[in-house]
Amino acid sequence: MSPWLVLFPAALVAVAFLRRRLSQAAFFAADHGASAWLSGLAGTAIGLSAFTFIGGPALVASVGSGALWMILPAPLTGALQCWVLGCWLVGRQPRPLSLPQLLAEDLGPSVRPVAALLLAAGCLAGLVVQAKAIEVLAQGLLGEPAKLWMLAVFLATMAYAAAGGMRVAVWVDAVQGAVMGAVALVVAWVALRHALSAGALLPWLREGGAGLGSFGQVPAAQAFSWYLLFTVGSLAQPQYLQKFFFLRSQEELRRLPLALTGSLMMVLTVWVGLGLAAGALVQAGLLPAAGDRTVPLLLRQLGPGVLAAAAVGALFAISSTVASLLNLLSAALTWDLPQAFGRHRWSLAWGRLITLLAGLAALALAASSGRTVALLGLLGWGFFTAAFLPAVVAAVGRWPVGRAAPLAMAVGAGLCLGLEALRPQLPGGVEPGLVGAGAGFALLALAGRARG
Amino acid sequence: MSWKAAACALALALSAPALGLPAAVAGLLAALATLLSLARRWGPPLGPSRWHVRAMLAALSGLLVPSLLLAHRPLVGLLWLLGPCYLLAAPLFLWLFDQGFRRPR
Repeated sequence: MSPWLVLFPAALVAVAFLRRRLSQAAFFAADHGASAWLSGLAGTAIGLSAFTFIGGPALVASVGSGALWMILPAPLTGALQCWVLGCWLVGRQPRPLSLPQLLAEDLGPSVRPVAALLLAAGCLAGLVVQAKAIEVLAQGLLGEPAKLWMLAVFLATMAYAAAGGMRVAVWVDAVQGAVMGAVALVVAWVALRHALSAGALLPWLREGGAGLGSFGQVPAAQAFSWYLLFTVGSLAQPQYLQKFFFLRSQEELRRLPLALTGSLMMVLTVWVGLGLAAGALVQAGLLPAAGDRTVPLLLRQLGPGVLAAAAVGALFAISSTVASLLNLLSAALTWDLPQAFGRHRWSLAWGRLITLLAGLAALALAASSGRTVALLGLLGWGFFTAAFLPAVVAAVGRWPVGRAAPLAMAVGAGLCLGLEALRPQLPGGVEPGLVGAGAGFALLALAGRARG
Repeated sequence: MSWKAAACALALALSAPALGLPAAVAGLLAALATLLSLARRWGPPLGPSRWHVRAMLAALSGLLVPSLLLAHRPLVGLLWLLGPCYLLAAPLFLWLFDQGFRRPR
Protein backbone atom coordinates (compact mmCIF):
# COMPACT_ATOMS: atom_id res chain seq x y z
CA MET A 1 0.00 0.00 0.00
CA SER A 2 1.30 3.43 -0.87
CA PRO A 3 1.56 5.94 1.97
CA TRP A 4 0.24 8.67 -0.33
CA LEU A 5 -3.16 6.97 -0.60
CA VAL A 6 -4.08 8.31 2.83
CA LEU A 7 -3.73 11.85 1.54
CA PHE A 8 -6.56 11.74 -1.03
CA PRO A 9 -9.58 11.53 1.30
CA ALA A 10 -7.99 14.02 3.67
CA ALA A 11 -7.35 16.47 0.83
CA LEU A 12 -10.99 16.17 -0.30
CA VAL A 13 -12.27 16.96 3.19
CA ALA A 14 -9.80 19.83 3.53
CA VAL A 15 -10.87 21.40 0.22
CA ALA A 16 -14.55 21.09 1.17
CA PHE A 17 -14.02 22.98 4.45
CA LEU A 18 -11.31 25.44 3.50
CA ARG A 19 -13.70 28.19 2.38
CA ARG A 20 -16.07 27.84 5.33
CA ARG A 21 -16.09 30.47 8.04
CA LEU A 22 -15.86 28.57 11.29
CA SER A 23 -16.40 30.08 14.73
CA GLN A 24 -14.09 29.26 17.61
CA ALA A 25 -16.83 27.01 19.04
CA ALA A 26 -16.94 25.08 15.75
CA PHE A 27 -13.17 24.86 15.36
CA PHE A 28 -12.35 23.81 18.93
CA ALA A 29 -15.56 22.16 20.18
CA ALA A 30 -17.54 20.95 17.15
CA ASP A 31 -20.19 23.60 17.92
CA HIS A 32 -21.05 21.73 21.16
CA GLY A 33 -23.42 19.70 19.02
CA ALA A 34 -22.29 16.08 19.32
CA SER A 35 -24.46 13.21 20.54
CA ALA A 36 -23.25 10.78 23.20
CA TRP A 37 -22.33 8.14 20.64
CA LEU A 38 -20.52 10.54 18.33
CA SER A 39 -18.62 12.05 21.22
CA GLY A 40 -17.97 8.66 22.85
CA LEU A 41 -16.61 7.02 19.72
CA ALA A 42 -14.46 10.06 18.91
CA GLY A 43 -13.28 10.25 22.52
CA THR A 44 -12.26 6.61 22.53
CA ALA A 45 -10.37 6.94 19.25
CA ILE A 46 -8.60 10.07 20.54
CA GLY A 47 -7.74 8.48 23.87
CA LEU A 48 -6.15 5.34 22.49
CA SER A 49 -2.85 5.19 20.66
CA ALA A 50 -1.09 2.58 18.54
CA PHE A 51 0.29 1.18 21.82
CA THR A 52 -3.12 -0.49 22.22
CA PHE A 53 -2.54 -2.57 19.10
CA ILE A 54 1.20 -3.25 19.32
CA GLY A 55 2.96 -2.32 22.58
CA GLY A 56 0.22 -3.37 25.00
CA PRO A 57 -0.23 -6.92 23.68
CA ALA A 58 3.58 -7.24 23.49
CA LEU A 59 3.73 -6.29 27.17
CA VAL A 60 1.19 -9.02 28.02
CA ALA A 61 3.35 -11.49 26.10
CA SER A 62 6.48 -10.48 28.02
CA VAL A 63 5.25 -9.85 31.61
CA GLY A 64 1.95 -11.75 31.54
CA SER A 65 -1.32 -10.80 33.16
CA GLY A 66 0.29 -7.94 35.15
CA ALA A 67 0.10 -5.85 31.96
CA LEU A 68 -3.69 -6.16 32.06
CA TRP A 69 -3.74 -3.80 35.06
CA MET A 70 -3.22 -0.91 32.64
CA ILE A 71 -6.57 -1.63 30.99
CA LEU A 72 -8.39 -2.93 34.05
CA PRO A 73 -9.69 0.59 34.89
CA ALA A 74 -11.61 0.61 31.56
CA PRO A 75 -14.98 -0.44 33.09
CA LEU A 76 -14.73 2.39 35.63
CA THR A 77 -13.15 5.32 33.82
CA GLY A 78 -16.09 6.13 31.53
CA ALA A 79 -18.49 6.52 34.47
CA LEU A 80 -15.86 8.25 36.60
CA GLN A 81 -15.01 10.82 33.92
CA CYS A 82 -18.69 11.61 33.42
CA TRP A 83 -19.23 12.00 37.16
CA VAL A 84 -16.18 14.10 37.88
CA LEU A 85 -15.66 16.01 34.63
CA GLY A 86 -18.93 15.81 32.72
CA CYS A 87 -21.08 17.01 35.60
CA TRP A 88 -18.57 19.81 36.16
CA LEU A 89 -18.42 21.26 32.69
CA VAL A 90 -21.35 20.23 30.48
CA GLY A 91 -24.00 22.36 32.20
CA ARG A 92 -22.03 25.63 32.06
CA GLN A 93 -23.25 28.72 30.22
CA PRO A 94 -21.54 30.07 28.22
CA ARG A 95 -19.84 26.83 27.24
CA PRO A 96 -16.05 26.98 27.64
CA LEU A 97 -13.77 25.76 24.84
CA SER A 98 -10.62 24.59 26.59
CA LEU A 99 -9.19 23.21 29.81
CA PRO A 100 -7.14 26.36 30.61
CA GLN A 101 -10.30 28.46 30.20
CA LEU A 102 -12.23 26.15 32.53
CA LEU A 103 -9.52 26.19 35.16
CA ALA A 104 -9.26 29.98 34.94
CA GLU A 105 -13.01 30.33 35.50
CA ASP A 106 -12.80 28.37 38.76
CA LEU A 107 -9.27 29.02 40.05
CA GLY A 108 -8.53 32.53 38.82
CA PRO A 109 -7.10 34.10 35.66
CA SER A 110 -3.44 33.53 36.62
CA VAL A 111 -3.94 29.81 35.94
CA ARG A 112 -4.71 30.28 32.26
CA PRO A 113 -1.29 31.16 30.76
CA VAL A 114 0.52 28.51 32.82
CA ALA A 115 -2.03 25.85 31.91
CA ALA A 116 -1.90 26.87 28.24
CA LEU A 117 1.90 26.66 28.10
CA LEU A 118 2.05 23.30 29.90
CA LEU A 119 -0.70 21.99 27.67
CA ALA A 120 1.07 23.19 24.51
CA ALA A 121 4.37 21.61 25.62
CA GLY A 122 2.69 18.31 26.48
CA CYS A 123 0.76 18.26 23.20
CA LEU A 124 3.88 18.95 21.14
CA ALA A 125 5.71 16.14 22.91
CA GLY A 126 2.70 13.89 22.36
CA LEU A 127 2.73 14.72 18.65
CA VAL A 128 6.42 13.84 18.39
CA VAL A 129 5.77 10.52 20.10
CA GLN A 130 2.90 9.80 17.68
CA ALA A 131 5.16 10.63 14.71
CA LYS A 132 7.79 8.21 16.00
CA ALA A 133 5.05 5.63 16.56
CA ILE A 134 4.16 5.82 12.85
CA GLU A 135 7.80 5.15 12.03
CA VAL A 136 7.86 2.09 14.30
CA LEU A 137 4.51 0.94 12.91
CA ALA A 138 5.80 1.25 9.34
CA GLN A 139 8.89 -0.78 10.17
CA GLY A 140 6.80 -3.52 11.78
CA LEU A 141 3.53 -3.59 9.84
CA LEU A 142 3.15 -1.16 6.95
CA GLY A 143 6.46 -1.59 5.18
CA GLU A 144 9.18 0.88 4.33
CA PRO A 145 9.86 3.72 3.74
CA ALA A 146 8.95 4.58 7.31
CA LYS A 147 9.70 8.32 7.07
CA LEU A 148 7.37 8.60 4.09
CA TRP A 149 4.53 7.02 6.11
CA MET A 150 5.20 9.47 8.92
CA LEU A 151 5.05 12.40 6.50
CA ALA A 152 1.94 11.17 4.67
CA VAL A 153 -0.12 10.41 7.79
CA PHE A 154 0.81 13.70 9.42
CA LEU A 155 0.11 15.77 6.30
CA ALA A 156 -3.26 14.06 5.84
CA THR A 157 -4.29 14.66 9.46
CA MET A 158 -2.96 18.22 9.44
CA ALA A 159 -4.99 18.93 6.27
CA TYR A 160 -8.41 18.07 7.69
CA ALA A 161 -7.61 19.24 11.21
CA ALA A 162 -6.52 22.67 9.95
CA ALA A 163 -9.34 23.09 7.43
CA GLY A 164 -12.25 21.95 9.58
CA GLY A 165 -10.96 21.82 13.15
CA MET A 166 -12.94 19.57 15.48
CA ARG A 167 -16.09 20.29 13.40
CA VAL A 168 -14.65 17.78 10.93
CA ALA A 169 -12.30 15.83 13.15
CA VAL A 170 -15.05 14.68 15.52
CA TRP A 171 -16.71 12.81 12.62
CA VAL A 172 -13.45 11.45 11.28
CA ASP A 173 -12.42 10.35 14.77
CA ALA A 174 -15.78 8.68 15.40
CA VAL A 175 -15.55 6.69 12.15
CA GLN A 176 -11.97 5.77 13.01
CA GLY A 177 -13.09 4.70 16.50
CA ALA A 178 -15.81 2.45 15.06
CA VAL A 179 -13.33 0.87 12.63
CA MET A 180 -10.80 0.39 15.45
CA GLY A 181 -13.44 -1.44 17.50
CA ALA A 182 -14.38 -3.76 14.65
CA VAL A 183 -10.73 -4.42 13.76
CA ALA A 184 -9.88 -5.11 17.41
CA LEU A 185 -12.63 -7.72 17.75
CA VAL A 186 -11.64 -9.52 14.54
CA VAL A 187 -7.89 -9.48 15.25
CA ALA A 188 -8.37 -10.68 18.84
CA TRP A 189 -10.68 -13.49 17.75
CA VAL A 190 -8.37 -14.68 14.93
CA ALA A 191 -5.29 -14.51 17.18
CA LEU A 192 -6.90 -16.54 19.98
CA ARG A 193 -8.20 -19.12 17.50
CA HIS A 194 -4.72 -19.38 16.00
CA ALA A 195 -3.11 -19.95 19.42
CA LEU A 196 -5.83 -22.50 20.22
CA SER A 197 -5.43 -24.45 16.99
CA ALA A 198 -1.64 -24.39 17.33
CA GLY A 199 -2.12 -26.21 20.65
CA ALA A 200 -0.41 -23.43 22.61
CA LEU A 201 -3.20 -21.67 24.53
CA LEU A 202 -4.85 -24.43 26.56
CA PRO A 203 -1.62 -26.09 27.79
CA TRP A 204 -0.29 -22.65 28.83
CA LEU A 205 -3.44 -21.87 30.78
CA ARG A 206 -3.66 -25.39 32.25
CA GLU A 207 -0.02 -25.61 33.35
CA GLY A 208 0.01 -22.04 34.63
CA GLY A 209 3.19 -20.44 33.38
CA ALA A 210 5.03 -17.64 35.12
CA GLY A 211 3.00 -14.99 33.31
CA LEU A 212 -0.37 -15.99 34.74
CA GLY A 213 -2.05 -15.39 38.10
CA SER A 214 -3.29 -11.95 39.16
CA PHE A 215 -0.08 -10.06 38.49
CA GLY A 216 2.08 -12.22 36.21
CA GLN A 217 5.68 -11.09 36.51
CA VAL A 218 4.74 -7.58 37.62
CA PRO A 219 5.06 -6.73 41.36
CA ALA A 220 1.65 -6.17 42.97
CA ALA A 221 2.59 -2.60 43.94
CA GLN A 222 3.45 -1.76 40.32
CA ALA A 223 0.17 -3.27 39.10
CA PHE A 224 -1.85 -1.22 41.61
CA SER A 225 0.13 1.90 40.69
CA TRP A 226 -0.78 1.39 37.04
CA TYR A 227 -4.41 0.93 38.03
CA LEU A 228 -4.39 4.13 40.04
CA LEU A 229 -2.48 6.11 37.40
CA PHE A 230 -4.80 5.05 34.59
CA THR A 231 -7.92 5.60 36.71
CA VAL A 232 -7.27 9.03 38.18
CA GLY A 233 -5.03 10.06 35.27
CA SER A 234 -8.02 9.81 32.93
CA LEU A 235 -9.41 12.89 34.72
CA ALA A 236 -6.44 15.05 33.81
CA GLN A 237 -5.73 14.28 30.15
CA PRO A 238 -6.73 17.29 28.01
CA GLN A 239 -7.52 15.02 25.07
CA TYR A 240 -9.91 13.05 27.32
CA LEU A 241 -11.66 16.22 28.47
CA GLN A 242 -12.16 17.33 24.89
CA LYS A 243 -15.16 15.04 24.31
CA PHE A 244 -17.15 16.87 27.00
CA PHE A 245 -16.73 20.14 25.10
CA PHE A 246 -18.28 18.45 22.03
CA LEU A 247 -21.30 17.16 23.94
CA ARG A 248 -24.72 18.63 23.11
CA SER A 249 -26.54 18.48 26.46
CA GLN A 250 -26.78 17.00 29.92
CA GLU A 251 -29.20 14.41 28.61
CA GLU A 252 -26.45 13.22 26.23
CA LEU A 253 -24.05 13.17 29.19
CA ARG A 254 -26.25 10.57 30.84
CA ARG A 255 -25.80 8.27 27.82
CA LEU A 256 -22.10 8.98 27.41
CA PRO A 257 -20.70 6.41 29.92
CA LEU A 258 -22.31 3.58 27.96
CA ALA A 259 -20.85 4.86 24.68
CA LEU A 260 -17.43 5.44 26.23
CA THR A 261 -17.19 2.18 28.16
CA GLY A 262 -18.64 0.10 25.33
CA SER A 263 -16.34 1.46 22.64
CA LEU A 264 -13.28 1.47 24.91
CA MET A 265 -13.74 -2.13 26.00
CA MET A 266 -14.38 -3.19 22.42
CA VAL A 267 -11.07 -1.73 21.22
CA LEU A 268 -9.18 -3.08 24.23
CA THR A 269 -10.23 -6.59 23.27
CA VAL A 270 -7.20 -6.55 20.99
CA TRP A 271 -4.90 -5.97 23.99
CA VAL A 272 -6.29 -9.05 25.76
CA GLY A 273 -6.71 -11.32 22.72
CA LEU A 274 -3.45 -10.57 20.94
CA GLY A 275 -1.57 -10.45 24.24
CA LEU A 276 -2.77 -13.83 25.51
CA ALA A 277 -2.25 -15.45 22.09
CA ALA A 278 1.28 -14.03 21.80
CA GLY A 279 2.11 -15.06 25.39
CA ALA A 280 0.94 -18.64 24.78
CA LEU A 281 2.79 -18.94 21.46
CA VAL A 282 6.01 -17.56 22.98
CA GLN A 283 5.77 -20.06 25.86
CA ALA A 284 5.23 -22.88 23.36
CA GLY A 285 8.27 -21.80 21.36
CA LEU A 286 6.13 -21.03 18.30
CA LEU A 287 6.86 -17.30 18.37
CA PRO A 288 10.14 -15.58 19.28
CA ALA A 289 10.09 -13.26 22.31
CA ALA A 290 11.23 -10.14 20.50
CA GLY A 291 9.95 -7.23 22.61
CA ASP A 292 7.78 -4.84 20.60
CA ARG A 293 8.42 -6.90 17.44
CA THR A 294 6.62 -9.90 18.94
CA VAL A 295 3.17 -8.66 17.91
CA PRO A 296 4.08 -7.78 14.27
CA LEU A 297 5.63 -11.26 13.99
CA LEU A 298 2.40 -12.83 15.29
CA LEU A 299 0.28 -10.72 12.93
CA ARG A 300 2.36 -11.98 10.00
CA GLN A 301 1.54 -15.53 11.09
CA LEU A 302 -2.17 -14.63 10.97
CA GLY A 303 -2.10 -13.68 7.29
CA PRO A 304 -2.00 -10.52 5.16
CA GLY A 305 -5.67 -9.64 5.75
CA VAL A 306 -5.31 -9.56 9.53
CA LEU A 307 -1.97 -7.77 9.23
CA ALA A 308 -3.56 -5.05 7.06
CA ALA A 309 -6.57 -4.75 9.40
CA ALA A 310 -4.32 -4.32 12.44
CA ALA A 311 -2.21 -1.75 10.58
CA VAL A 312 -5.33 0.25 9.69
CA GLY A 313 -6.56 0.09 13.31
CA ALA A 314 -3.20 1.28 14.63
CA LEU A 315 -2.97 4.04 12.00
CA PHE A 316 -6.46 5.28 12.86
CA ALA A 317 -5.54 5.27 16.55
CA ILE A 318 -2.56 7.49 15.78
CA SER A 319 -4.38 9.76 13.35
CA SER A 320 -7.27 10.50 15.72
CA THR A 321 -4.87 11.28 18.57
CA VAL A 322 -2.80 13.55 16.30
CA ALA A 323 -5.89 15.48 15.17
CA SER A 324 -6.89 16.04 18.80
CA LEU A 325 -3.42 17.11 19.94
CA LEU A 326 -3.07 19.52 17.01
CA ASN A 327 -6.40 21.13 17.88
CA LEU A 328 -5.61 21.33 21.61
CA LEU A 329 -2.27 22.93 20.87
CA SER A 330 -3.88 25.43 18.52
CA ALA A 331 -6.50 26.26 21.19
CA ALA A 332 -3.80 26.80 23.81
CA LEU A 333 -1.78 29.18 21.62
CA THR A 334 -4.48 31.04 19.68
CA TRP A 335 -7.39 31.04 22.15
CA ASP A 336 -6.08 30.76 25.71
CA LEU A 337 -2.77 32.60 25.62
CA PRO A 338 -4.05 35.71 23.78
CA GLN A 339 -7.11 35.87 26.04
CA ALA A 340 -4.92 35.53 29.12
CA PHE A 341 -3.10 38.68 27.96
CA GLY A 342 -6.25 40.64 27.16
CA ARG A 343 -6.61 39.98 23.46
CA HIS A 344 -10.15 38.66 23.01
CA ARG A 345 -10.56 38.40 19.24
CA TRP A 346 -9.92 34.95 17.82
CA SER A 347 -8.76 34.45 14.25
CA LEU A 348 -9.60 31.32 12.26
CA ALA A 349 -6.56 31.91 10.06
CA TRP A 350 -4.25 31.81 13.09
CA GLY A 351 -6.01 28.73 14.42
CA ARG A 352 -5.38 26.95 11.14
CA LEU A 353 -1.83 28.24 10.79
CA ILE A 354 -0.81 27.09 14.28
CA THR A 355 -2.39 23.68 13.59
CA LEU A 356 -0.17 23.32 10.52
CA LEU A 357 2.95 24.70 12.20
CA ALA A 358 2.49 22.39 15.19
CA GLY A 359 2.35 19.39 12.88
CA LEU A 360 5.44 20.51 10.99
CA ALA A 361 7.33 21.18 14.23
CA ALA A 362 6.47 17.70 15.50
CA LEU A 363 7.66 16.16 12.23
CA ALA A 364 10.93 18.08 12.41
CA LEU A 365 11.51 17.04 16.04
CA ALA A 366 10.64 13.43 15.30
CA ALA A 367 13.11 13.39 12.41
CA SER A 368 15.88 14.72 14.68
CA SER A 369 17.94 12.65 17.11
CA GLY A 370 16.41 9.73 19.00
CA ARG A 371 17.71 11.17 22.25
CA THR A 372 15.56 14.27 21.95
CA VAL A 373 12.54 12.19 21.11
CA ALA A 374 13.10 9.86 24.04
CA LEU A 375 13.27 12.88 26.33
CA LEU A 376 10.11 14.37 24.87
CA GLY A 377 8.40 11.01 25.11
CA LEU A 378 8.50 11.38 28.87
CA LEU A 379 5.90 14.13 28.58
CA GLY A 380 3.00 11.77 28.30
CA TRP A 381 0.12 10.52 30.44
CA GLY A 382 2.06 10.98 33.68
CA PHE A 383 3.02 14.57 32.79
CA PHE A 384 -0.57 15.64 32.22
CA THR A 385 -1.63 13.80 35.40
CA ALA A 386 1.02 15.59 37.46
CA ALA A 387 0.33 19.00 35.92
CA PHE A 388 -3.46 19.03 35.76
CA LEU A 389 -5.02 16.50 38.17
CA PRO A 390 -4.61 18.59 41.36
CA ALA A 391 -5.87 21.71 39.59
CA VAL A 392 -8.86 19.89 38.08
CA VAL A 393 -9.82 18.34 41.43
CA ALA A 394 -9.38 21.72 43.17
CA ALA A 395 -11.55 23.42 40.56
CA VAL A 396 -14.22 20.73 40.69
CA GLY A 397 -14.27 20.68 44.50
CA ARG A 398 -14.08 24.50 44.69
CA TRP A 399 -11.09 24.42 47.04
CA PRO A 400 -10.07 27.89 48.24
CA VAL A 401 -6.53 27.67 46.82
CA GLY A 402 -5.96 31.33 46.03
CA ARG A 403 -3.05 31.83 43.65
CA ALA A 404 -1.38 28.50 44.41
CA ALA A 405 -2.84 26.65 41.44
CA PRO A 406 -0.28 27.81 38.81
CA LEU A 407 2.56 26.96 41.21
CA ALA A 408 1.06 23.52 41.92
CA MET A 409 0.81 22.82 38.19
CA ALA A 410 4.39 23.88 37.53
CA VAL A 411 5.80 22.00 40.55
CA GLY A 412 3.85 18.82 39.69
CA ALA A 413 5.00 18.88 36.08
CA GLY A 414 8.60 19.66 36.99
CA LEU A 415 8.75 16.92 39.64
CA CYS A 416 7.29 14.41 37.21
CA LEU A 417 9.91 15.25 34.60
CA GLY A 418 12.76 15.11 37.12
CA LEU A 419 11.66 11.71 38.44
CA GLU A 420 11.14 10.37 34.90
CA ALA A 421 14.80 11.14 34.21
CA LEU A 422 15.68 9.05 37.31
CA ARG A 423 13.18 6.28 36.56
CA PRO A 424 15.69 3.36 36.50
CA GLN A 425 16.73 4.20 40.08
CA LEU A 426 13.17 4.49 41.41
CA PRO A 427 11.71 1.70 43.58
CA GLY A 428 8.97 -0.40 41.98
CA GLY A 429 5.50 1.07 42.20
CA VAL A 430 6.69 4.70 42.32
CA GLU A 431 5.07 6.45 39.34
CA PRO A 432 6.49 9.93 38.62
CA GLY A 433 3.10 11.18 37.41
CA LEU A 434 1.47 10.18 40.69
CA VAL A 435 4.28 11.68 42.78
CA GLY A 436 4.04 14.95 40.83
CA ALA A 437 0.28 14.99 41.30
CA GLY A 438 0.77 14.23 45.01
CA ALA A 439 3.10 17.23 45.35
CA GLY A 440 0.57 19.42 43.56
CA PHE A 441 -2.21 18.21 45.88
CA ALA A 442 -0.03 18.89 48.93
CA LEU A 443 0.67 22.44 47.76
CA LEU A 444 -3.00 23.12 47.09
CA ALA A 445 -4.02 21.61 50.45
CA LEU A 446 -1.47 23.85 52.23
CA ALA A 447 -2.73 26.88 50.35
CA GLY A 448 -6.32 25.98 51.23
CA ARG A 449 -5.38 25.58 54.92
CA ALA A 450 -3.53 28.90 54.93
CA ARG A 451 -6.64 30.62 53.57
CA GLY A 452 -8.78 28.92 56.21
CA MET B 1 -13.81 17.26 53.15
CA SER B 2 -10.23 16.90 51.96
CA TRP B 3 -8.94 16.70 55.54
CA LYS B 4 -11.39 13.95 56.45
CA ALA B 5 -10.39 12.01 53.37
CA ALA B 6 -6.70 12.55 54.12
CA ALA B 7 -7.21 11.28 57.68
CA CYS B 8 -9.02 8.20 56.37
CA ALA B 9 -6.24 7.61 53.86
CA LEU B 10 -3.58 7.86 56.57
CA ALA B 11 -5.50 5.52 58.87
CA LEU B 12 -5.94 3.03 56.05
CA ALA B 13 -2.27 3.19 55.06
CA LEU B 14 -1.14 2.72 58.68
CA SER B 15 -3.46 -0.18 59.31
CA ALA B 16 -2.70 -1.87 56.00
CA PRO B 17 0.29 -3.95 57.21
CA ALA B 18 -1.72 -5.15 60.22
CA LEU B 19 -4.47 -6.24 57.89
CA GLY B 20 -1.97 -7.98 55.62
CA LEU B 21 -2.52 -5.55 52.73
CA PRO B 22 0.33 -3.93 50.83
CA ALA B 23 0.48 -0.16 51.29
CA ALA B 24 -0.22 0.20 47.56
CA VAL B 25 -3.69 -1.29 48.01
CA ALA B 26 -4.41 1.07 50.88
CA GLY B 27 -3.13 3.98 48.82
CA LEU B 28 -5.22 2.94 45.86
CA LEU B 29 -8.41 2.62 47.86
CA ALA B 30 -7.75 5.83 49.78
CA ALA B 31 -7.15 7.78 46.57
CA LEU B 32 -10.28 6.40 44.96
CA ALA B 33 -12.25 7.11 48.15
CA THR B 34 -11.10 10.72 48.02
CA LEU B 35 -11.98 10.98 44.37
CA LEU B 36 -15.41 9.45 44.70
CA SER B 37 -16.15 11.56 47.77
CA LEU B 38 -15.31 14.59 45.68
CA ALA B 39 -17.62 13.35 42.97
CA ARG B 40 -20.66 13.75 45.17
CA ARG B 41 -20.01 17.39 46.01
CA TRP B 42 -21.81 18.92 43.06
CA GLY B 43 -25.28 20.23 43.39
CA PRO B 44 -28.51 18.89 41.97
CA PRO B 45 -29.60 17.61 39.59
CA LEU B 46 -26.23 16.03 38.79
CA GLY B 47 -23.86 14.04 40.88
CA PRO B 48 -24.07 10.79 42.76
CA SER B 49 -25.40 10.47 46.28
CA ARG B 50 -23.38 9.32 49.26
CA TRP B 51 -24.91 5.87 48.83
CA HIS B 52 -23.65 5.61 45.25
CA VAL B 53 -20.13 6.66 46.23
CA ARG B 54 -20.04 4.03 48.96
CA ALA B 55 -21.45 1.39 46.64
CA MET B 56 -18.87 2.19 43.99
CA LEU B 57 -16.03 2.04 46.47
CA ALA B 58 -17.29 -1.22 47.96
CA ALA B 59 -17.52 -2.68 44.47
CA LEU B 60 -13.96 -1.59 43.68
CA SER B 61 -12.59 -3.07 46.91
CA GLY B 62 -14.55 -6.25 46.35
CA LEU B 63 -13.06 -6.59 42.91
CA LEU B 64 -9.46 -5.60 43.52
CA VAL B 65 -8.60 -6.99 46.94
CA PRO B 66 -9.34 -10.65 46.02
CA SER B 67 -6.77 -10.38 43.25
CA LEU B 68 -4.13 -10.37 46.00
CA LEU B 69 -5.46 -13.61 47.42
CA LEU B 70 -5.49 -15.16 43.95
CA ALA B 71 -2.07 -13.84 42.94
CA HIS B 72 -0.44 -17.27 42.87
CA ARG B 73 -3.38 -19.20 41.43
CA PRO B 74 -2.43 -19.09 37.72
CA LEU B 75 -5.71 -19.74 35.96
CA VAL B 76 -8.08 -18.52 38.67
CA GLY B 77 -6.14 -15.27 39.09
CA LEU B 78 -6.28 -14.53 35.37
CA LEU B 79 -9.95 -15.44 35.12
CA TRP B 80 -10.73 -13.20 38.11
CA LEU B 81 -9.10 -10.25 36.31
CA LEU B 82 -10.82 -10.89 32.99
CA GLY B 83 -14.20 -11.86 34.46
CA PRO B 84 -15.36 -9.90 37.51
CA CYS B 85 -12.72 -7.14 37.41
CA TYR B 86 -13.03 -6.40 33.70
CA LEU B 87 -16.11 -7.70 31.93
CA LEU B 88 -18.64 -7.83 34.76
CA ALA B 89 -17.50 -4.59 36.40
CA ALA B 90 -18.59 -2.51 33.40
CA PRO B 91 -22.37 -3.04 33.71
CA LEU B 92 -22.12 -2.58 37.48
CA PHE B 93 -20.41 0.81 37.23
CA LEU B 94 -22.70 1.91 34.39
CA TRP B 95 -25.75 1.00 36.47
CA LEU B 96 -24.40 2.88 39.48
CA PHE B 97 -23.72 5.95 37.32
CA ASP B 98 -27.19 5.85 35.85
CA GLN B 99 -28.81 5.49 39.28
CA GLY B 100 -26.77 8.39 40.60
CA PHE B 101 -27.66 10.51 37.60
CA ARG B 102 -31.35 9.71 37.71
CA ARG B 103 -31.95 10.56 41.35
CA PRO B 104 -31.36 14.19 42.32
CA ARG B 105 -29.47 14.60 45.56
